[in-house]
Amino acid sequence: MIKVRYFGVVIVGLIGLILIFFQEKYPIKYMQVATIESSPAGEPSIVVTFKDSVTNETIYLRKTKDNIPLHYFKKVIGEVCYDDECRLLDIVVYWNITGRYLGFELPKGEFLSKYDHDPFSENEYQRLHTLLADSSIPLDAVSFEKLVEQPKNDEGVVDAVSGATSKSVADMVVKGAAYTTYKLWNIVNGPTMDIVSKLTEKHLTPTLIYRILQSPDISDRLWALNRMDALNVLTPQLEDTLLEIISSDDFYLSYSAINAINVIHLKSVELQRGLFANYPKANHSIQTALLKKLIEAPFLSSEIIQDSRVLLPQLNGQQLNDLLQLYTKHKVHDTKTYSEVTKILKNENKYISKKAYSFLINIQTDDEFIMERLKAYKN
Amino acid sequence: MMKRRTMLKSMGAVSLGMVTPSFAKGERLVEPYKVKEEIITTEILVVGGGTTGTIAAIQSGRAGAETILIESGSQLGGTTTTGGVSFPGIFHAWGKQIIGGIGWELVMDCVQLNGDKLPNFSKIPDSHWKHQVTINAPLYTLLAEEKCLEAGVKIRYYETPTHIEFKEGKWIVETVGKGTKTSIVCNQIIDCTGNALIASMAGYDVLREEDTQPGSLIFRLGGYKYDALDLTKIPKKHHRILRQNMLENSKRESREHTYVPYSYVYVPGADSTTSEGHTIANNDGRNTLLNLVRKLKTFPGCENLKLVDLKTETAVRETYRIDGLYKMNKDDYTSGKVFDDAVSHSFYPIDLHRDGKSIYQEFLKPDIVASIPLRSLIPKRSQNFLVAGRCVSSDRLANSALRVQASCMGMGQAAAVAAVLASKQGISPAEVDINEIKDLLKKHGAIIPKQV
Repeated sequence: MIKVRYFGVVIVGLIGLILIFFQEKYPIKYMQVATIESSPAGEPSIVVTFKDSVTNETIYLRKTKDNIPLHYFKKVIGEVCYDDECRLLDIVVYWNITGRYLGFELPKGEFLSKYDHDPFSENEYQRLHTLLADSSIPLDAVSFEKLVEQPKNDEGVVDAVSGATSKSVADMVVKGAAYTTYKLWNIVNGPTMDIVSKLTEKHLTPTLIYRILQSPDISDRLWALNRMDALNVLTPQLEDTLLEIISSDDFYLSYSAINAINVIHLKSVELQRGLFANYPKANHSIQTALLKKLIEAPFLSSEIIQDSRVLLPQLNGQQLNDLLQLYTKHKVHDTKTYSEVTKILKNENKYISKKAYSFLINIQTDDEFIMERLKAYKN
Repeated sequence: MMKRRTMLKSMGAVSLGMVTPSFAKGERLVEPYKVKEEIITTEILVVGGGTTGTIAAIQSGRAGAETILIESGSQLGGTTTTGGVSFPGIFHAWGKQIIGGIGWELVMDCVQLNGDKLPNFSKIPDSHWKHQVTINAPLYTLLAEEKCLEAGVKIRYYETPTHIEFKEGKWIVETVGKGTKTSIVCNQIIDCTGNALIASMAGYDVLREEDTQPGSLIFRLGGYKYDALDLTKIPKKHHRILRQNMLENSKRESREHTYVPYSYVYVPGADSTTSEGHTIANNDGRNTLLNLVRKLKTFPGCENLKLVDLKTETAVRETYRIDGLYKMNKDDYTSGKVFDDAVSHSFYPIDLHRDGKSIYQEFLKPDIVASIPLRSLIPKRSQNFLVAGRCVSSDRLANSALRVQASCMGMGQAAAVAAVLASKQGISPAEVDINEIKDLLKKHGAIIPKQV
């Protein structure tokens, strides 16, 4: 029995020693999926520095030798105090080039500890990493003092009408390390996040936007979509990527991709055609967004006029309304289109036929057929 | 020389003749007040212009049916506008849109016209309410009315039904309004009162729980800083009200957490079925709120507290439900069962506000989205009759999730399509081929649940 106990102690001790050995040899590092994966091992990377305009600290940017930015990082050194006892916080925080949190790394031999000086366990590091990655936690909305005063959820204060519920402290921090979590979360999700995002914005190219749009993380892709405006021209590769996103069944991504296109981009006939090619199979709300976008175009491709004309008889009133608005905006006045719209006057559904009437009554035409049909409709 | 009196007299005459404008000369005796009585006909009658009825009426009009919408209040939108729950949801679940159609079109138009941003629906939220869409309620009211009128819907505000009768294949609905007494003869009725009022008048079975969920009177406070309050000096029961709920601001930028605060007081037993009941609900809510404001102002840091906004009426959660051809239960809802006759989705936690103090909540598991069968919108033994909205046939727990706005909008659109097809074919909604209903719904942008 004693032997067994002795053996157990030895095993635990050995595991401890192995852990310490690995900690000394390999630094503690937690990383999320990167916007752009690092360059292949061995390939040299370049590090450039910037000044954080808010804290005056140095921000480092690592990029490939081809000038593709990979990530930003910052060395954070400070004190975490509890009950007048302080411990040094020495950590490197990483951000993706979109400002999204990437991860953290501790120097060799360093570790994070809780208020009782117990080192973080693997689960606690993982939890911290998860919390830091969640920018929606309202840790920036309260002071640390208020945070620890907060009532807990179980006091019946939850709301579900629309339900904005104040999260309890336990939901937002690593147990026993509230201040460390609070401090790190505010560094990760604080002003540096926007600073690095803006630094990337300054160097956006079609290639870089394309690379970011390939990110497995949706927020990265949305980041890129929201900044497409900065590009005066879309490369064919970018146009294809955009159209692929628009055709996805993720409404918000698709909607954001449509809104990412600006008037200048719409000079491209290929892009216009690609947009309209998505129309027949798109969700109705996306269909409306597509036509509204084409309304902004400096001109309307003749192919779209032809292809849309075929759809006219099958559209519901709202779809017809959107398409006729597109025709009006682009002054589509060819006889074939007029003739197709005129046929709709005979539609049994008054809501639909009225749309056609309102369109035709406003066009300048002396076509006898149209005039006759309009007269007949009115009577 | 002119005498002073004569001069003043002549001046008066001149000023009267020259200064009094012609429009001030049209005074005449009017006919004594008379109630206008008339009989009017329509294909579809939608009763109730709230969250559900507005969508039902627009759909009916757009499908080409003559449509009348009667509403006892002065504007459309109900809970979404008059009741102040101006954050409809939920239209998206698990990264996909699950409710589309006219309700979503209205929300999108409102968001775009107001220059707002949509929540990020691609990100699965930690709390369901983050996918509710904050809208400008007054703008929603205007857009809803415009869409109704554009679809040819005849809106009759300030009107309420008093009697209903089915005769020779038609419904005859008697209504009264300000100076009106009308008989509306129609082919089909859609009861969107939320209270199954017309179903009850028609003699169909309606059900009510012994204890119903409280209503809410929504308001907003200002004039103090929550973070600066010493909460140890304020009783805990007031903390929630002072903290106020926070609707994620649609204009949120960057990393800032910007919120639109709002709060509410519970109104136990709130029932909007009758004028008397709704008056009591409003009186109770307003009285509770007034006393609350007086009380809050006595706390340190709240001396300058102000009531910044108060919604027009108490919004109601639960009153009556019909006994339908199918009664949805909680398991149907939480398992995401897709019915053969499913006409719309619904997505919300089971959310029962029990005694005004606590809420029973049960969240749907990943990838689960509930569906609503057409049969739950048709009262047993009914003819040419549908309901839509919170009075859908369901048990209490399923109803606590089904009652929310996006689900009600989906039901409204589905009921209208069924009613229009039934009207055209001269049959009852239950007899219409379900595939025809689904096809027409799809044509109008609705999203139909699919069997896996």
